[in-house]
Amino acid sequence: MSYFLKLILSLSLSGTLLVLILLLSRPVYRNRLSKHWQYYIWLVVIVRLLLPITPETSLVGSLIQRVGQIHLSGMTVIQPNEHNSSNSDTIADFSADSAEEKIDSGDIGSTAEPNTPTDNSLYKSTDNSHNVAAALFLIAWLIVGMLLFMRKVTVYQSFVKYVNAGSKPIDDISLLENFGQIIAQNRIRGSIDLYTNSLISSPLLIGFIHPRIILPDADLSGSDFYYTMLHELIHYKRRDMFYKWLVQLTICLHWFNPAVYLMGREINRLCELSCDERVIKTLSEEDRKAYGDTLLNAADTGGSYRDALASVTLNENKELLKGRLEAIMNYRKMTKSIRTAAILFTGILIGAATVLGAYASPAGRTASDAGIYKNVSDSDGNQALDYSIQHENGIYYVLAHGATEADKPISGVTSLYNMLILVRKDSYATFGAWDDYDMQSLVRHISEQCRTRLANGQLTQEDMDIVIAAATEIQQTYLSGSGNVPDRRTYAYRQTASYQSPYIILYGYNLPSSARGSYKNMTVALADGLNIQIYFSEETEKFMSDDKAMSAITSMIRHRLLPKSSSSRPLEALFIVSMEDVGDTDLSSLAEKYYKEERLNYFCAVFVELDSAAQQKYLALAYDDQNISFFASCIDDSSTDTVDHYILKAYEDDRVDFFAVLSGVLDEESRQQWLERCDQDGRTAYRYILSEDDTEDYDAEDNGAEDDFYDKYGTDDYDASSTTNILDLNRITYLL
Amino acid sequence: MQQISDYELELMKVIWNNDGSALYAEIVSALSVKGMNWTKNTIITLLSRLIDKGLLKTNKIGHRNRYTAIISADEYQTSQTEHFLHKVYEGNAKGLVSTLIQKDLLSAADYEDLMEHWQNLQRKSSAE
Repeated sequence: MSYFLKLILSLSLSGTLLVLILLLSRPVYRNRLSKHWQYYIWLVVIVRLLLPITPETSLVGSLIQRVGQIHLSGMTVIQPNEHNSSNSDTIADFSADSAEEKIDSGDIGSTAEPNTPTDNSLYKSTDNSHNVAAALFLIAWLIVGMLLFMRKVTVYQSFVKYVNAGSKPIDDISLLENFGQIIAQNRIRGSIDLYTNSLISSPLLIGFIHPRIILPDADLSGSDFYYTMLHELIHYKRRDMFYKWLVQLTICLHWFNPAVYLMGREINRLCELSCDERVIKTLSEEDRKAYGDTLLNAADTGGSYRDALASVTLNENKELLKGRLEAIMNYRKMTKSIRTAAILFTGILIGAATVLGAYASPAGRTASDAGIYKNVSDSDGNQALDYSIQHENGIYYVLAHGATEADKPISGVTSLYNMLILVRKDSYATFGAWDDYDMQSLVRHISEQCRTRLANGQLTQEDMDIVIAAATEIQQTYLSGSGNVPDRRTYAYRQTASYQSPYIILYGYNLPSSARGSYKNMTVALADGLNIQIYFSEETEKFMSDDKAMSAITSMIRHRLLPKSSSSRPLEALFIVSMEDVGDTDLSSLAEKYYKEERLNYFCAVFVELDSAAQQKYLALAYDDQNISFFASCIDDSSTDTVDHYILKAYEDDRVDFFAVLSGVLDEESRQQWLERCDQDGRTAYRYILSEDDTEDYDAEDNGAEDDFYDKYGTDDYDASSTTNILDLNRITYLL
Repeated sequence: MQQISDYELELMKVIWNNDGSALYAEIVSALSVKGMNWTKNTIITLLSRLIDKGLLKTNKIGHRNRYTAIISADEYQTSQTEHFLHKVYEGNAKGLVSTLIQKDLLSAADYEDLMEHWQNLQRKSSAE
């Protein structure tokens, strides 16, 4: 609904700009280009105002889009980190009082993060109220427009009736013949009747089906009659009536826009002027004088009824008449250069109309190529809910509304708990953790969460339906025993980037088999008989035939990936998401570039190759810039001293977000120390953050920090070359 | 019945003479025979007026238009005569006939014919 509203507004806006362009540049062309051109050039504006055709991206289109977004984001309440608030859901006991949960999450989530890019495009929860308002506006617009147009039609009809009532057909055969001859001479098709009516003020052409010319006075001199007829017949021949009604229709549709009224006036004026021009074209100079005399004579006649719309008249008012007489006197033939100038100007205007464009429907984006969709109908069996579920590492990703692999957040939060993440194209929402024992009440708990969020406007009804349907599926699958028993060690799909000179490669491994079908792939044989499947995205397909690229990929596999994989976790499908050739550029400028451009993945790829001084510099920079995503990636690698330094800083600067990130990297001893300190200082929020980690109950069998690391971060890139952390930074950079 | 102009009457005569129906082309040629070489617009305009007044109807046969008289020549004469009678003689037919005779508008031979016709009519009606 709001789509139509935006469409109309954008059409009106584009049209207005064009009107302004034409009107403002009038001094330039009014005496140089033909009136004929000036009259018809407005068709470009009318087409722009009426037809919803636009290139995909256009000036006005994106303007309206941005306005829409700003408006939307201004309305959402809990903004940047939906994730933050749901983080607290993870640790809270499901049976806990939801009110309590709310308070706590509010506590943590309320610290605004100025630097975090806000997914402000789509909090669908506000869409509903928006749609209602938009629908109302749309209806109001339509009603007013229709009423205006109907009124015009009625006025026209009554005028025609009035005129007809007082009109008498001209029986004078000589006049009729005279008239007939003029018609034949000018090769006018169709027949026109001739009447006289003493009540009208000037000759007019009226009627669409049975056109007729009505004269106020049949007693005209020969030349007056001739020129009058000629003028009206030109109007008829050019079908000016239709053009005028088209203009009226446009005005009615854009009734709220003052610019279209200006346009209407201008077009009316030009209608008469261009008609004069056409008449004059064939006349000699003295004949032109005679024509001017005719106009003046016509102005003399009295009459009681005037209606600019109903007829194409010989005179409208004195000003116009003056203008027309001037134009007659100053007429000169069009030269070739003028013709080319006219064509040029036309082209410019059409170009402007295209560039300005209109609002394009955002639904133009294509569905996922991964083809991992399935349609599930809800209990009523009517509407199909569009989502699919992927289960990895204890997390159930519910991809909805056209979201694809690339939209999935990387989450490495918990080990023991399951989570449901609703992934939309530009945003996602997490739904509370549960462990296997809670499976049978999963749907109930998820529904509760959903209801709270729905009431808060954080969740749309549609999304709630999807989440509950997904939860039902998960629960049923689990309970029926046919689903995957949550094995936290399943081979998760993870995305990272590596610098493999001269490329930076963004890749993911262990692409789920459901997604593999839609990407091109090739098999690469490595040493010791190992074969690996490499999948390429649309963007990177081209590298398949590029030897240099392929060798970079294979060395990357050999040197980085293979050593990491183990028999318990073999390296499966590799997915090359994107690749960039950075050539000889030195690493520090690359790092600087990516930092500035906020391309986290690429930055991390380069970061790990930097020396520790440079790394420290970036840590400090990220902290000062409040760039938490970058900070979090950099901190993984750091020494305990660095961590201590920063965690203290964060604590003192009251930067909860940074504190949270840093707390994840603390060793157990430090963590305990901080817990005590928070207790002492009475800073419960911080204590809460620290105690999150308490719930990570490592199995007795777990040994090795590597496994701990994996549990925590869902990766075993222990040297943390390029992994991303809790706060889902991959996606954010993707969005950027 | 509406009054028609002189030239509209000419058109009707042309059509009546063509057995009450004529194609446009036929009308044009008949008119030119009479010396009325009117422009196309004039002819069509007059025909349309006759159609609007209910004396003619038109239908298309392929490309061409055929015009058919709804009112016959007799009907027209009669109604015009009535009209004239009411208007000028206020319905007094005797007055009209006397004028015809007195002003020598009626020749002796015609008068004889009329008398005979009149007596025949009278005999017929009294016989019934």
